[in-house]
Amino acid sequence: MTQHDTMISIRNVGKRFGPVVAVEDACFDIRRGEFFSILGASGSGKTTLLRILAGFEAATSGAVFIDGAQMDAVPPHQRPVNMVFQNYAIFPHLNVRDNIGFGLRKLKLDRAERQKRIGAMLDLIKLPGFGDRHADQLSGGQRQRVALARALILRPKVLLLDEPLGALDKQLREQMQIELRALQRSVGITFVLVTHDQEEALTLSDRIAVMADGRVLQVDTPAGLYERPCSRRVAGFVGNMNFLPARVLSQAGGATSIDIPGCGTTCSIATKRLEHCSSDISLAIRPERITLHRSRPAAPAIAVAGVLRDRMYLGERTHFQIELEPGGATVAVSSSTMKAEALGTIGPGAQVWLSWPEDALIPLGNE
Amino acid sequence: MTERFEFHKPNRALQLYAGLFMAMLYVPILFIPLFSFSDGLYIRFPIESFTLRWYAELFERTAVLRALENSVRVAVSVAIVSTVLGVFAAKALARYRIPGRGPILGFILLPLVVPPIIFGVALLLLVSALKIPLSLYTIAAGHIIICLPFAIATLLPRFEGYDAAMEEAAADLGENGWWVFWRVTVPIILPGIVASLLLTFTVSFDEFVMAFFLGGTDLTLPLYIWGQLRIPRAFPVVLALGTLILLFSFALVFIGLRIGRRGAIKLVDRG
Amino acid sequence: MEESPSAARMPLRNRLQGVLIRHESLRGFLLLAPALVILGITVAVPFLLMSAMSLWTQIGFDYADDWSLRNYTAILTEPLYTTLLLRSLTMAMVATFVTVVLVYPMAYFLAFHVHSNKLIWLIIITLPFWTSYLLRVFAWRVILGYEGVINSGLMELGLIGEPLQFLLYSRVAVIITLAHAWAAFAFLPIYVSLEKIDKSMLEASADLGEPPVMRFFRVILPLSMPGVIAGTFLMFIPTVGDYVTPTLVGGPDAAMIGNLIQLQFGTINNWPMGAALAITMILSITLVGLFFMALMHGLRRWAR
Ligand SMILES: Nc1ncnc2c1ncn2[C@@H]1O[C@H](COP(=O)(O)OP(=O)(O)O)[C@@H](O)[C@H]1O
Ligand SMILES: [Mg+2]
Repeated sequence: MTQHDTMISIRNVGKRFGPVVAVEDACFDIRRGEFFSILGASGSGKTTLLRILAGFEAATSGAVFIDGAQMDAVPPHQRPVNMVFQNYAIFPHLNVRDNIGFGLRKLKLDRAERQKRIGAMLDLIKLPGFGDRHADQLSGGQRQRVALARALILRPKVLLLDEPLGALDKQLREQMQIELRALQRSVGITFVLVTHDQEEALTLSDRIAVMADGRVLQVDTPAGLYERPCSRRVAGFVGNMNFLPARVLSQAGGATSIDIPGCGTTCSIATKRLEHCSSDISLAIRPERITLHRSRPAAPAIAVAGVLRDRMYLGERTHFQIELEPGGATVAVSSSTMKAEALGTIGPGAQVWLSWPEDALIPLGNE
Repeated sequence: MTERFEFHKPNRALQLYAGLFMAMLYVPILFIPLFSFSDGLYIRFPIESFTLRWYAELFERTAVLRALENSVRVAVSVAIVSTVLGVFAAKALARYRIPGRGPILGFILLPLVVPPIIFGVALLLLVSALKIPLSLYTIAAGHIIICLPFAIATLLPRFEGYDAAMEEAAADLGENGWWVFWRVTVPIILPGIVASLLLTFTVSFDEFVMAFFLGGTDLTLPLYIWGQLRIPRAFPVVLALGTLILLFSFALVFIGLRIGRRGAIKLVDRG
Repeated sequence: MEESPSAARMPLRNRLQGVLIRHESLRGFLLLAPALVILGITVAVPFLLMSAMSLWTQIGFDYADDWSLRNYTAILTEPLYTTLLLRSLTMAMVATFVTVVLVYPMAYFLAFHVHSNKLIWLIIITLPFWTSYLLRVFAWRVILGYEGVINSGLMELGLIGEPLQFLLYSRVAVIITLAHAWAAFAFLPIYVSLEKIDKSMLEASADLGEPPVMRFFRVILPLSMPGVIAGTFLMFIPTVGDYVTPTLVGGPDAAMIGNLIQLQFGTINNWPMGAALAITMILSITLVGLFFMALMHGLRRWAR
């Protein structure tokens, strides 16, 4: 990646509030024009990191560069970024038009030009004719759009969004996700979105940084995070995942033999995928990568027997819980309802077999 | 369920007590206006006839008018200074992580409970040690001590009542601290500012003890009244003057408290 | 923390800005500074000066800064001073006690039996307290005076033949006036503590069949105790040092420490003694306060 592609560069940024470490040694880049998300549970330091980018918090250590310029001593009002706040921070004493046009004062536009720009923004957020409404006459979704317009009208280099959809109900949230993505494509501005909703992050983003306890665990594309999580925490946070305890037995050539005690079986994995792992590891596997059989399948070499404990019909998909050893851990299996029905009517207590393609197993070190 | 519970039923005895309480609170004060209209030179029942002559006499006394002017000058300056200082201090207390916030707030609110005679005497010592002549300025200095807690107690809930993100949003949209203050902070806390101006004005306008210790030859209205109280013959005029002052103060404070909503009520909760 | 190499070359203005951005509490103190400086000059410095002067001696029209405890020894040994000090403390205590007792039912009524327009009620109850203290005390002089409202009213009704002498210029007059003038100070904290009590919890205790009187003494009163204590302090502290009320309705028999302090700065013209009296007053209020706290603490332990 060349210097030119980088919009934001976060270099070893840390932030403490007294004894609390909110962000620890964050170090990654955000590319020009990309839709970037910071994903993490509540309290993981996402907002703090975003506020450091906006200039509301000073980093305790490290540095932030935006479009190549160091931001340390640049106050918020001089940074080329704008923000959509978590609860939108719509000015209560101004109407929609003046809220959207708030940042235009410095441009010293004449009246007509100002009204034109505000009108264009109202059209963009699909609220034409709402200009004279007062802040308290807007619904949650409308406030969110006004906050968006207010920030975008200044054509910032980066738009920062702090859980912008968190306050909306599910249906509106899904609709706004689509609109947000379309908006980002049409304006071409770099978006940095903070969210605790992994589905939202996966749907919207070009790339995602996963945070936990103030640390950035992994920065990758949605597919990369989903298919190649670098740790148990990331794997558990993004989508559903089964973890099987395993032990490295021996290494021969390019393949390593691994014992999976819970399944009473062994398998082999390409050695290069086991870098950084000690001998006690976890094998992660997505529920939808597991295939369910009523009798021992002939084709894959590895098949594991288990007892069906629970079956949940979820419309398009059906979920199963399978117990591998009596009284032991259960494994979640997700299968399309069509395939599940092809298995016939099996209920709790039935003997079943599980199989998976070899590359579905992701070896992860135990933390 | 709710109907059954006793708190929702009227309690006759308590209602009666509340009525008596309010009467005891207001009736004593109402004797001042009542007797200000009495024609007799002495305050006593029965009131034989009513008159407005004490009010007319009031406006012929240049000393009263001069004292009024002095009082207004002091009270206006005190209201402005303490409200401006109060805005800054309340913003700092509400918005910034300040080490020692509790003790600092306690120190600022101290004059609410400490007898004013202490502050008056102490300030008098300093003023005379510095050889500063006693004047309306020294009175105003004393009044600022008393009014600042009221200003802060009125303004602090205003700042705490709205999201700090409003100011951050304005900064984010390109305004520096000065413009953020004028375009966002002031409009949002305006009711608090008006309430603080009205309340501190009234407190200063009516204050006696500080003025008594720190005043020079220029009298404020309370000082003028104090002087007249030695002369029983002057009582009717004092009653007329007192009536006007009470009317004016009650009106200002009522408006101030209404605008300031719970601001003034919260003050004791904190202290 | 490492300094970036360019920092040294930045213009001073930018570096200052950088420091302010990094240190939030510094910005806070900058905003607080005007208020704190003014209070420092008008409260803290005078107070230190007063403490110092209380250790001096008045000689004619001059002071000797000979640093002695002579003033304090006099205050603690001469009956004039001790009498007035003790009288001020007891009268303030009685006035406070009376007020707290009278105000409590009103606060209870407002907290539990008024369901609409509470704000207006609160404003009306606290309104007089904001306005001229001098005039409110003067009103009592009009009422209690030799030819005042009560005396002339009673005589008009033929109930008494002679004016009642004891009404004005008595300790009772001072206590009544103080109770009336400071009621709001005792009222507000008690009201706030009663208002905070969770009403659904009281309904639950009613469901358990507890009679209302028991509930009041076992639940409501203990829960409102912090408010009662706060109200007691808030009223007791300023009334001890009151000057206007004892002067206007008290007379010589009901003079208080405030009158004595004023005299030292007025006709007696012994400022060091005045300063010592003021300091003694603060110290004795603190002592009584500590004693009261200990008493409350003991009572609570005993009640358990
Ligand atoms: N102003 C602050 N003062 C003290 N601690 C804070 C402050 N802001 C955030 N924190 C702490 O920093 C941690 C991260 O907070 P935050 O960035 O808000 O997390 P998130 O947005 O991921 O929920 C939390 O433990 C939080 O309590
Ligand atoms: Mg957050």
